[in-house]
Amino acid sequence: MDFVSRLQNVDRRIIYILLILVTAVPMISPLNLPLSISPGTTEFFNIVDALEPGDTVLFSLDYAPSGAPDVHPIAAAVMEHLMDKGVNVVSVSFWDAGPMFGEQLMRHYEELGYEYGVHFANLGFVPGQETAIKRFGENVGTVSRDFRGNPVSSLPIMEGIKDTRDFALVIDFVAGNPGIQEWVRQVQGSLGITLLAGSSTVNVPQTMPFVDSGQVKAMLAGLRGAAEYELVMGKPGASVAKMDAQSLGHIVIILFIVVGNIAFFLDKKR
Amino acid sequence: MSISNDIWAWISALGMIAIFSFIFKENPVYRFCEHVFVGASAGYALSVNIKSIVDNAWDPITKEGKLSLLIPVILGILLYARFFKSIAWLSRWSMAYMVGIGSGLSMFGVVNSQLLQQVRSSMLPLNSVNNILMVFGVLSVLLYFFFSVEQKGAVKHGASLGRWLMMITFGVSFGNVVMGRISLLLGAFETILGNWLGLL
Repeated sequence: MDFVSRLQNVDRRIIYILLILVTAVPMISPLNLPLSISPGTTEFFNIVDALEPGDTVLFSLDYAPSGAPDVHPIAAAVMEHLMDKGVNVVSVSFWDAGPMFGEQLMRHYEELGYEYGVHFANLGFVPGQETAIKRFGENVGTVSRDFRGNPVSSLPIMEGIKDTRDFALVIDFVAGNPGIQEWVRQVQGSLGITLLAGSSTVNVPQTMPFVDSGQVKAMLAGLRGAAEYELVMGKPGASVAKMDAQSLGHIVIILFIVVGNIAFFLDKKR
Repeated sequence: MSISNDIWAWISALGMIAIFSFIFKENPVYRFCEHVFVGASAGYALSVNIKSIVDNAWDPITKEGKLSLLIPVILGILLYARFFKSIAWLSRWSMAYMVGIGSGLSMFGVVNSQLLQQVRSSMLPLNSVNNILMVFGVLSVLLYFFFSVEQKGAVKHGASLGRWLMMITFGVSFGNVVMGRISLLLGAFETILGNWLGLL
């Protein structure tokens, strides 16, 4: 096999090893590559930053472990901002794995002295997909007990909250369906709530048309969105640290695509 | 480097390494971890769903006397009738109810939010490059799917532009998929290098 043919048939294990190396090394010793802030992130930040202490925000945690590394950092960054501002957070999930991410977010702040039921609450999983989103959107009382088994009516944070219009904001952290489409179709359209999205990168093309039309006010996209949000907040954290690895990973993939194409055309020419 | 003492950090990291071993070759350790993952996910989903039935149906019926909830419970149970040939037809009632509700809800939502609102947001004044791209992009893609006239002359050129724009869109989608997959890889490294080995 000559050189050109070899370039077209690189062993996948070599690609994997290279990719693992170029992503793992900068995580251990970051290169501090520059990271620009997109207008969408600034808009998202400004909407959240305009909230008043004592306001309550609804998190719809619609993702599973398979998408969590891309979406959970967004939820963590926004939660940090809200806790700093004294804004309360109620979480609900229309994916059965969602509640455990709510617990992950909240336990961290409980250790810091915040109180469950006062500063945040996890309403758990609501089955029924699109129908459930519609029902919950119009009547939060659909959920009678939270994820920890407390009656929802006994939680101080839920005082005065009857439907999703009583939340200052609704943010859907989403990695697929049910998610942002269902929220827009069933709740945003009919109740006119202010809806934001923290979307997995794969889900961005599905969410973008709603951002353009103004049905979703702003969107953070994937790990990069989380990193940008941490920077705008002035608290660079785990997501920012991963951006060098992400950029180098992309460079390796671009190189392989370019090399593969050059080899393809050289081979065709012969 | 300070390796974690937490047993769950060990299980999580070793599980990820075992799954990564598939890169080189399928092997029994990979298969074992794959089965554990599938089993654990199914177990978790089952427990969450049982809790949901207890909280939303069983407790309200038995403790609060909300007997109207018996109707959805019975419809739900009827879904399982399909496993018994002689009464399988009963499951159609529940299916019909679900399909009816689902279609009704979707119809209003799709027409209002995904058709009318999207069409409205495409009707833009041609006063900026972005708006011009958006309007002509939508028109050319629609033209590509317009089969009532023969695609020649101006129609052909418009449809061709639509095809190019769709291909660019597919490229953007693929780019997002690649970016998302690298994020997932980084999440796994965070567990292995950070939570387990304490290198981060």
